[in-house]
Amino acid sequence: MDNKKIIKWLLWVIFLVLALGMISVVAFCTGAVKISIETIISSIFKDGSPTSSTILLSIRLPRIILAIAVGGGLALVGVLLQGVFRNPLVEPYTLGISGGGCLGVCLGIVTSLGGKFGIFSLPLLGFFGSMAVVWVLYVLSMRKNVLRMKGVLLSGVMISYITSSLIMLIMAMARVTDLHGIVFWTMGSLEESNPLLMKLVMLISLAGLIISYFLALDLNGMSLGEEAAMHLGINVKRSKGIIFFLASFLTGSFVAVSGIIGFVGLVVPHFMRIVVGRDHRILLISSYLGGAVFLVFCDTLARVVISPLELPVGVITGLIGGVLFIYVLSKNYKTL
Amino acid sequence: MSAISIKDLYCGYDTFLLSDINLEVESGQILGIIGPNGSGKTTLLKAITGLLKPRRGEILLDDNNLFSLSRRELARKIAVVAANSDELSLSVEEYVLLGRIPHYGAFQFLESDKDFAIARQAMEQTKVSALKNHSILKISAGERQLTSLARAICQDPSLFLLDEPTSHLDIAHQIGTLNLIGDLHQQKKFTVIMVLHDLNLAAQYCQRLVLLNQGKIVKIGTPSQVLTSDLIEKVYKTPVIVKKDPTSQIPYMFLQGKRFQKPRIS
Repeated sequence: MDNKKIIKWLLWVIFLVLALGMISVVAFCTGAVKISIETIISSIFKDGSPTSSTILLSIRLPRIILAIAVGGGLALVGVLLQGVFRNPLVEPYTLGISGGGCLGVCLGIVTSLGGKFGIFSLPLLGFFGSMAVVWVLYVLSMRKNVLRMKGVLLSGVMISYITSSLIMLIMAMARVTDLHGIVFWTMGSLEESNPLLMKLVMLISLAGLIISYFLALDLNGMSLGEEAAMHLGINVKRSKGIIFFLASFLTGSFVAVSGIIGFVGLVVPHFMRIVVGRDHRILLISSYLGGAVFLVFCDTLARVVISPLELPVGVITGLIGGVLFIYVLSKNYKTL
Repeated sequence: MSAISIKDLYCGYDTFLLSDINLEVESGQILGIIGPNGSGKTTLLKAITGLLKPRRGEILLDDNNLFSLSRRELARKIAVVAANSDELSLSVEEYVLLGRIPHYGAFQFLESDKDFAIARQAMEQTKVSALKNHSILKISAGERQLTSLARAICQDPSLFLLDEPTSHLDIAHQIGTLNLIGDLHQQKKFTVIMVLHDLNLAAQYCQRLVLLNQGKIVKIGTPSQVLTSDLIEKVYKTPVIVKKDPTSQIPYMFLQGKRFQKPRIS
């Protein structure tokens, strides 16, 4: 009985890893510059032409890695927040956590704060922006020492409106030279030129996955409601604190390198719950892998749809995710 | 030995306070908490589970102060079946297995064969085995109550707390649920504390009753001591007729509609 479940879970993980491998190879081989398979193989294993090997190894490969880190991480944050709030519609974007991070980054661009701590200043500001939103959400939903989860989605949507208005205000007053950077962050793009930052995000994202596994059983218990979870011996307050911190830290880091990429945390966990079930012990890893697959796919699409120009990847995830959001809202989401 | 011993307890919220609660519950007893709506029954249960911190007084669980125990230690001793649950879509089996969480080892991540065996047995006892792959949102209220019981059994507690286990159930499920609790109590000798609204069911299934009113204990005793027409009329402000069941000698209460009430001279 036990073994059957484990084998099923392992098969899903293997399947998703294979899918991720496949989509990554496809992403590696497609792009504005046509590079034939032979050239690709020769530039990896032998000394091929320097141009194609530069395109492949310093442009396409880092981008795929970043898509995996950000896509997986955002889906993971979605699962964590949905587990705490017991609502399948919450995710960093709908709660305004991404918006807060982006506001922090934009403030950094237009003020002198952006250069204070070298390349880490924008990620740090993104992190503080996200933390600020999580804190506001926490205060808003706290009543008499009980966290009321019901109004939190509405508060989150309102916060994301406020942050996007503030970002527009900053754009209206910004210098033309800063505008490009701001637009880049508000629309979301995986074009990150700094390899150090990219490696850091990959590490943060993987660390998030590992830490989330210490919370998997607590999240399972919380699916019965907070009081019931406490009756099962779960330290709900502590777990919730860790999850809020982790979610804002991860989201802040992702926003800082790739801007707002919305709805990944909504779409992916939603489908994963349908295929692998609600048990967080499998849902966390499969959403991570699924999020990676989804974002690599969307990014490839973004690169080729109007090639040689490029769409911001946030536009594609937003289109797919927004439609799904409406669909989920129109159904009784509890039974999903 | 007392399973629960409550001394001079004051506990509650800004708007409602339980006051001056003194209660000893012997180990292996079935205790019923009765009282009108808003009399503090659920608040008392929450105090016993440690969800509400007392303002004054103390609660001893097997002679240990309740708050010296961690939530995890508490969860191995106390299982709670709450009145209104708000679950997400889980299968019956997944739901029942969650009851094993307090017993997981420090680095245990998956259910052991023992956990599965205990869950299987609990589902057989509560007769929900056939539903194990159904979603708990799609089974009937009665089946859901049985599933909650199965989850509580999995916790392997020494104290069972039930908040209105028979509400929203038809008479067959009411009796079925309480019979099951009685049978389990016979087998495992755990202590049961349950909040009941139906006084006649409380009289039948509980060895002792606590009558609460406005946050205070009015009376503690056997059903025949507590369920007297004077006391019930005073507390519930509703006239009742109490007769004894001819076979069990347990008090039975009759409610009277207005048109059957005799005019009284007071």
